[in-house]
Amino acid sequence: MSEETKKNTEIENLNPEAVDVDALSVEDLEDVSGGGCTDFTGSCSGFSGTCIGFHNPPAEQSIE
Amino acid sequence: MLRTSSYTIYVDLPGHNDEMLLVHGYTGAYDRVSRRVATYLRSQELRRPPKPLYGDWSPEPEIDGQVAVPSDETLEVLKRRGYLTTLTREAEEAKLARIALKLHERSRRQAPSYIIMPTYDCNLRCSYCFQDHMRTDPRFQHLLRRIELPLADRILAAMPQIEALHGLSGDTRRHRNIGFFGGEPLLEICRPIVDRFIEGALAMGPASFWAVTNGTDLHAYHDLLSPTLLSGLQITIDGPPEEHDRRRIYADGSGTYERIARHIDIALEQGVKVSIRLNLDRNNIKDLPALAQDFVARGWDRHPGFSTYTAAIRAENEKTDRKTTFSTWELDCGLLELRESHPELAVIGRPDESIKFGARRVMGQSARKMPEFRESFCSAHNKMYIFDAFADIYACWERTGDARTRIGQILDDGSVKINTGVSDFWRSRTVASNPACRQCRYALHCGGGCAVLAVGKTGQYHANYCDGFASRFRANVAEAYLDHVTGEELGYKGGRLCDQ
Repeated sequence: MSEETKKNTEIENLNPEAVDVDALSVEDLEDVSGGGCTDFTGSCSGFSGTCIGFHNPPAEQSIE
Repeated sequence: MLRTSSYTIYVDLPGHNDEMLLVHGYTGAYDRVSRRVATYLRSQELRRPPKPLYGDWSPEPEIDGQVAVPSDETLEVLKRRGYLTTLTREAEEAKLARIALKLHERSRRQAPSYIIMPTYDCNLRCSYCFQDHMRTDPRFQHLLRRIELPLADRILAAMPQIEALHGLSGDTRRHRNIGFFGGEPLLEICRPIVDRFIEGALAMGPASFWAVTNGTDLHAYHDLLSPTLLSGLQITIDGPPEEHDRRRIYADGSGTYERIARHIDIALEQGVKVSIRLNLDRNNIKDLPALAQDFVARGWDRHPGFSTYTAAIRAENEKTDRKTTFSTWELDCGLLELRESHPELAVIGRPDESIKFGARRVMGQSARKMPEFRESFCSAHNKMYIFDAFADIYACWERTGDARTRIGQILDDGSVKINTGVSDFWRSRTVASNPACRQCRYALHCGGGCAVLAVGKTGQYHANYCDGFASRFRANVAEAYLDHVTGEELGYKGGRLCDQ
């Protein structure tokens, strides 16, 4: 929680400020981790009981 | 003029009337606010969001209570987090589109994921299968061939060429992710082909392998089932033995449950991750408690590699009665209701656990990160390459077996020919590529929905398919927050195989 919201009961930040994608270039955003399945997440609606829908991961980069 | 961002999402917290959550649709912010602050924000919206051109209207909570202006300090936080903005509605929409396209460009530069379809043939005859026609209509008989070994070699040789198209080349340490799909990819008769792909890929560099399989012929792959070879399986079970054996049947009508269960035992014992997919409709959901009890009785839930997830059957062919099907939201509600009287259903994953898991992960962040957005629904739109026995390349595994929808081919000389028009058509679908999604506050959390379901409903691939996402997102974010504050363990094991 940021300093200014510690005493503020009206609003509590639940996550730090995210990276402003609009302000960065694609090169800055590029995922350096390469391919390969490391995370089992997805939210395919299950078309006809077969599609399992590949989800694209957020880049797990810590900027600061 | 300062106004409330058109991409502000309001999340009610059950049992907490004085507070709620805010989530922002393009800054990635998650905040807990007093209801007073939320009411103020609702009062500063220019107008209600337009009804989507297609899809469902997503009802938002009404303004409740008197409007009071928050403190200057709170107003500054609201501005910084994106909930208050001086941008016009049109400028916000353009910003969302820029963000989506930038994320999409990044996705398209990521390493491809590969799916091999050794054959469109299958040894089962599940009535709801979207490929049912391939096995039952003689006009499609020609599709039921297998990849031959020379083609397998050409497909393997094509992978570095495809990686070069993504701006990736020359790295022999690149880890490749290769899945097997069908038809039924792990038919006993396909073993030589699967061997060729695994050996060939490992000769090129590190690789991991997984399969979507009905699990009936796994005895023929016993020695490949390991954490270093065929390390992940998704297997469908459609109910306790009696119900499953009415749905997942051989051509002679006989059932498959016990055979599959034996194979799951072996796979789990050998360290393979096994994700059980449960295709549910209004007729078989009542059988879930018995099924969960069977999973527990077999000890599957004690294996760290075991997981389950649920999906709603869709009425894809004329054999499936639409009246028997659920939406994803209805399925989740049905599961929750059953769980109240059947705690053993805790071993059965709900359809939207990934949304809840994603929100929990965000709430647990301590460092500044990229927002967890999805600019497109799945990797059919950026990096998935599906190869079949005709040397055709597809983007989406729901649209294979038809040369008109292929995004490319592997030619006889081994070179890769991309059909630019079709490829660009598939790879350009994002939340920015249709006007309904661009104006939706949930767009970057949703991804726009499944393209194939969108075309089924609207006739357009570049259209939204909402599937009640707004309700699902709000409900799961609320649950995630309540678990977060009580310190509930983040127990999500996942279920769906993924190309991440």
